[in-house]
Amino acid sequence: MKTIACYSIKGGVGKTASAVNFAYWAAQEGLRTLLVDLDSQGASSFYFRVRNPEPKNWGKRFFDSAHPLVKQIKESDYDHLDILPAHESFRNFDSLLHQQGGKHNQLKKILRAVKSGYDVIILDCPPSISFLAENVFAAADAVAVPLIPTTLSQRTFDQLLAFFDQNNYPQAKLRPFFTMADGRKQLHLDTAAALRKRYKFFLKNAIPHSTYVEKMGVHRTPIDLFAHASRANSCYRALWREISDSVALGEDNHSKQGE
Amino acid sequence: MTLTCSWQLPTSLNRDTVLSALPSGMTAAPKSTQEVRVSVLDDDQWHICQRGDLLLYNHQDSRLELWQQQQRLAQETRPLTIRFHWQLNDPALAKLLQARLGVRAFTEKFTSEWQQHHLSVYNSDDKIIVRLTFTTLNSVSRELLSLLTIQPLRGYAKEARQLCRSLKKLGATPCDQLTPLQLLTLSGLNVPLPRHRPPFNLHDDEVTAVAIMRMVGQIVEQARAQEEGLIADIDSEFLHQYRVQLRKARSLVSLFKKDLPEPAFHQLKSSLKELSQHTNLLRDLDVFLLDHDHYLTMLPESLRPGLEQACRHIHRLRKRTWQKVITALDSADHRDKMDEINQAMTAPRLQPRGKKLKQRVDHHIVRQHRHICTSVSTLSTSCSDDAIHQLRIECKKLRYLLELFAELYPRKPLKVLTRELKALQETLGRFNDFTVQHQFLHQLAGELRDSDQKSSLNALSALLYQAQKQEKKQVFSILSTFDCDETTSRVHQLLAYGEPS
Repeated sequence: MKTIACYSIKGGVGKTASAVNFAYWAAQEGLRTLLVDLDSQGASSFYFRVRNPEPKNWGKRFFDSAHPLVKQIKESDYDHLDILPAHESFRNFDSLLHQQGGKHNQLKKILRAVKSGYDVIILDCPPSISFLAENVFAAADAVAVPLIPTTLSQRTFDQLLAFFDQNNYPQAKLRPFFTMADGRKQLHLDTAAALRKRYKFFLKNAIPHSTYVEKMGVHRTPIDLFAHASRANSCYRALWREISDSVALGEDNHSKQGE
Repeated sequence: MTLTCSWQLPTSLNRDTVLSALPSGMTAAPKSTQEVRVSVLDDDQWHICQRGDLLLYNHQDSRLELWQQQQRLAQETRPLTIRFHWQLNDPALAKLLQARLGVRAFTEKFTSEWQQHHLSVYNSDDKIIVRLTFTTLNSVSRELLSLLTIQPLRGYAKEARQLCRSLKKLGATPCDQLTPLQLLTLSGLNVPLPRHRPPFNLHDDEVTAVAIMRMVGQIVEQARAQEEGLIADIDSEFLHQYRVQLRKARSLVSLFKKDLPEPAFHQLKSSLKELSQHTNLLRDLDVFLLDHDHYLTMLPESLRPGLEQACRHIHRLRKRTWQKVITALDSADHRDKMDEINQAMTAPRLQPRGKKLKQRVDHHIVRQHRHICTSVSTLSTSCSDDAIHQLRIECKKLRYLLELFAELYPRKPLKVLTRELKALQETLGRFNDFTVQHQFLHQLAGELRDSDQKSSLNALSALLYQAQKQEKKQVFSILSTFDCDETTSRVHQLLAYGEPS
């Protein structure tokens, strides 16, 4: 079982759209997939039409034991794909983790309890560097970092690298990739080129700026369902392949698909 | 966890009425409709179904599936013309079917058709919460039967319960989760109970000749029951069983010849012999073809093409031989033979008084056992193959006596004695198989013109000869452990049981 996080310090860079489409393609490839919506805004749950759970403050018990977590898992409309929906109480994760001693392996421990049922767990993370983020870095086998090729995004990526260095998290876990890339904008082209030159570990595939990504909110489905032939769709699929190959995930499945 | 449940709908309730009564906030949309045509495959004796499993053939996608309760054990896509486990590609399915059927063929035993409508139920967010399957089939009484299966998605059990409550209000009846077997049973599948050999109803004091004639009659009847499968050429077991039954009948007639009226004995002896004889070649060919894959692995690569060619020749020869056999079975001569057997058995020449059965069977068991002990003591490593063959026949006669007259003896001592003779019989049986196949191949090689085929068959024959020689050593190793005193005491224990001490 592999855990892949979609994370960025910055908001609005396409974390949720990426997590939703990655989870969809993983499931389409036959991998038993769990998408965990850690962001209290619940956007990825919304995209899959899964409502927030009813119990009040259930997020308080999130790190206590696997049982309440397993109870909240919902089957999506697609084969092999389950969702652990967000809850508004998730916004208190940081203070909760702080109360529990600021440990970094709480998330890893709790996910271990559900790993036997899944081949891949995809974490849709809230922005910001926090205790939760550190738990994500400890739990994930790979951290997919979406970046808009702009100066601000470049800056936040540098901050992330510095944080990894300071806290001894292996940079090898990072899988940065460009989102909302617009080939007509010189700034995007220059920034992307500069970053690729500086950091060889940037993923080859990128997500173009596309209205279809925005329309996911209207359709409440992954792009494949309403814009199958779009470039954004094929880019998400290729990007997922690149990420899953980089963590040696589902090699059997890929070879089966290729047959 | 997901909870799947099934409901039987009254005739007044159709799909539309169920959907119009969905709890508020729920809507349904059709997903697909399937016309399902499923055949149950099994061997002649229904061995798969009788152990509670199902071998199903789905005609829509040519899928062969083995089911145990609600679990599909293995599957593969194959045309329906496939009949044996060794013709399958999936090793898991082949292995499971081998364990269930051995060399028997699986053929269509029952076919049913039903219609399935798959629907999804959505909540107010347009999220699927439950999947529904409406199944409509013609029941055994030809009434239209409607069944509904509710499969909630994980995390939506509460909504499914809500749906179940509204179904209950509509008058639907909950039923067990439908397994393929249940659906097929509702469609009229009726798996027969395991066929037990009918007892001979033997009595210790009845006249031996009367009992033997009755037994021969029943055994010949069992042989004749195989004729249909033999004519249809379903699998080699029909011929094998046909011959086994005739051999038993012949053994009985020969063992009790002094108890039978002389004309009846002669008539039965010659008629049964003739019936068996015309199937000898076909059985030899069947045995060779059943072992074909094993023979291929015995030969070096270079000789395999020759064997493959020879096999094609043997297949053609088998087809011609089988046609001769079925022509013979359909002939006036065959009917005459059967009439002769019936006449011999119903002849009024049987004396109402004669020797008592138990006494005679006891005598034969003792005598047969003595024959075996004498043979065992006189056999040496330099003895001929015929001498070993003779010992095998003596052992077989004793086995038939113990098996056919089991009704007259207590089960436990009979089982002990049979078990003690088993190892010897199995080794002698293997030795005989090697001898027969070695001779058969040697003879066949002599008849072939093609040098490649000849070389392959000669090489195989030589290998089988070596195997036969090895088995001969095994025979003597078993014979050295065969304790006549021990088995004699077992025989005495068997016969003394129930006698006043």
